[in-house]
Amino acid sequence: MGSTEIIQFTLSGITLGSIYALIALGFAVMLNATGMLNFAQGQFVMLGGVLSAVFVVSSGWPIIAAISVAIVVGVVLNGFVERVVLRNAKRADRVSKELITLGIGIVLESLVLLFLGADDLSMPYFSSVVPFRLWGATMPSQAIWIIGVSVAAMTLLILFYRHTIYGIAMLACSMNREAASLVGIRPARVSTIAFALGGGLGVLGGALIIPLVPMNFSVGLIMSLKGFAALVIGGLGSVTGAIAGGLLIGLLEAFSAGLLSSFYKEITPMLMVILVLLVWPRGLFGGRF
Amino acid sequence: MPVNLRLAGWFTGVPVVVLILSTLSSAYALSLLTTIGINTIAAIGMSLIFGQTRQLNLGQAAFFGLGGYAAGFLAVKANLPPLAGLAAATAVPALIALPIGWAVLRLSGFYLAMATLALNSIMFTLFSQYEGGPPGVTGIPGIPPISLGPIGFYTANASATFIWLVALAALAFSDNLLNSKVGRALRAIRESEVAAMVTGIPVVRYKMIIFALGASLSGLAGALSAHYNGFIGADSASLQLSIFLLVAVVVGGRDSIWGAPIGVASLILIVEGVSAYGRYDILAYGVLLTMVLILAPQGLTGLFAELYQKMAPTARKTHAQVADRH
Repeated sequence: MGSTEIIQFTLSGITLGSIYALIALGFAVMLNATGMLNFAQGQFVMLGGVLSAVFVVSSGWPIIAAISVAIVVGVVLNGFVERVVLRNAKRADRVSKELITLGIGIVLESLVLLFLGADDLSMPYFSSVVPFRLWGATMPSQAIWIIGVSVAAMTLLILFYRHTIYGIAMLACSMNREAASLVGIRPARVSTIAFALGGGLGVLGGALIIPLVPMNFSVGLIMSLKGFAALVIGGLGSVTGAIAGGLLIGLLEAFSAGLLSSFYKEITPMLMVILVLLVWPRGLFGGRF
Repeated sequence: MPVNLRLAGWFTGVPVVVLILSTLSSAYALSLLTTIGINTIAAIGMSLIFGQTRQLNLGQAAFFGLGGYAAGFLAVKANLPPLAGLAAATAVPALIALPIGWAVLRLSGFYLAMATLALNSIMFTLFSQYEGGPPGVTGIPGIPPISLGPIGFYTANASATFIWLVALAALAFSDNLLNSKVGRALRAIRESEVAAMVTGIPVVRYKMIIFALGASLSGLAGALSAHYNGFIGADSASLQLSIFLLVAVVVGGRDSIWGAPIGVASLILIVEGVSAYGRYDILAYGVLLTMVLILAPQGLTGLFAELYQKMAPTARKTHAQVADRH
């Protein structure tokens, strides 16, 4: 294995890993605020991808407009899921609510299948198709967009958690909902905002990756799976852990696809999940934030 | 239900089922009933771990596939009698489930869901690579029909009857189990793990046993499916099947073991019904799962029980309902 190959695998690992980190961040934001996993998160990633592709390719919108509208759809839709669907499931405990999100994911999937068909959708790169050359390795221009936008989104999210009143309220809710409501925070509203934010992050991830990886209605579960894997490896609920976990999963996939075969690419991250659960269940970066 | 009534029910119900299945002449109805029977066995396993104990298992199909591949491999590659395959299909999933359960069942509820999801993904990928027949074809073809020593179940009627006898045995076993000390312990764990622990119930041990038992039942169902279809493929371990079994238990009713057959039968009949109009089957699943959990989380069997209570207010409450109402 030459140094060029190492650089090549690392670059593609970081590209994929950025997307996984965005998905895992969406999970973590909602988990922290509400104490539940949103099993529809992968379907929001799929929705972000296919909506952007349809807006750009079929409707001929500019890319920035297409992605913005897709993000608004994701934010509103997931906010609606929390505010209207989950809030009204009064008899449901945590597991039941998680299963409701699983049902919502299935509904989203089937609606995409019914309205947009089962074919893979894709869209052009955000900018020129000329690949970059970096220390002998090549990198599609889209990868730069993916890494750049993801880093920007993660930075904004961390700033949001550290410096805005809603971010701090969200952290307070993740520590103790009752105590948070005693100091004037409304946990219900925080939950809605967290779902809206999570939906937006998922859609953004899908829109960024679809020029490189074409998607159809059925990829949602796989996307959720990668996000879960990143979440477990990073430690449930940790924001920095989710980012690190996502990058680790991306690198693991890129190196096992490059050195072994694409068959191992599917297996190694899941083996890593089981290994982490067996040996270090709180995750490699366990603990809060 | 008093014990004598319960026994009387079994003693009349089982011969009726056998009579119907061994004389039914419609091939379509028989294949539908057989599919319902096979999935019921796996769903009983899901009902034990998720319905009764409320531990979210998202990998029941991994065990179904393991059982099917174990049975298929032993029958086709090792030329062993189907009984050996059925035994292996019951043992292997439990042997995989126990260490996983040991590791994650002592942690919070999220971890079992994660671990089973990862296991399901691994098994599906492994199975979709395995070529057990002619090169280029994945899966194991040419699995013989089920037979027990000299008795073979070669006709559609015979295999349907055999599969339903296994399903009824699994139901009777689980029903008895849930009416015992174990069942009471599981319901205590479902209501509150901390409270169960405080009353001296070895919570982790019970959860492990029931997780492994559920995995075994799923493996047995997979083996029966492999023998019935003569083929086992990676689809038997798909995440979609895991979700199907979960939805079936929720729709049928989580709190009763009878929710498993009722949920499986309703889902399969609904899917058969809507598939004539195009690909609305997935939509039906999703809407059903969401609506049942919001409007009637007790599921169909729970609704029946409530209806029975209303019509006969003096009727003796079953232990499950008493437990539900604390």
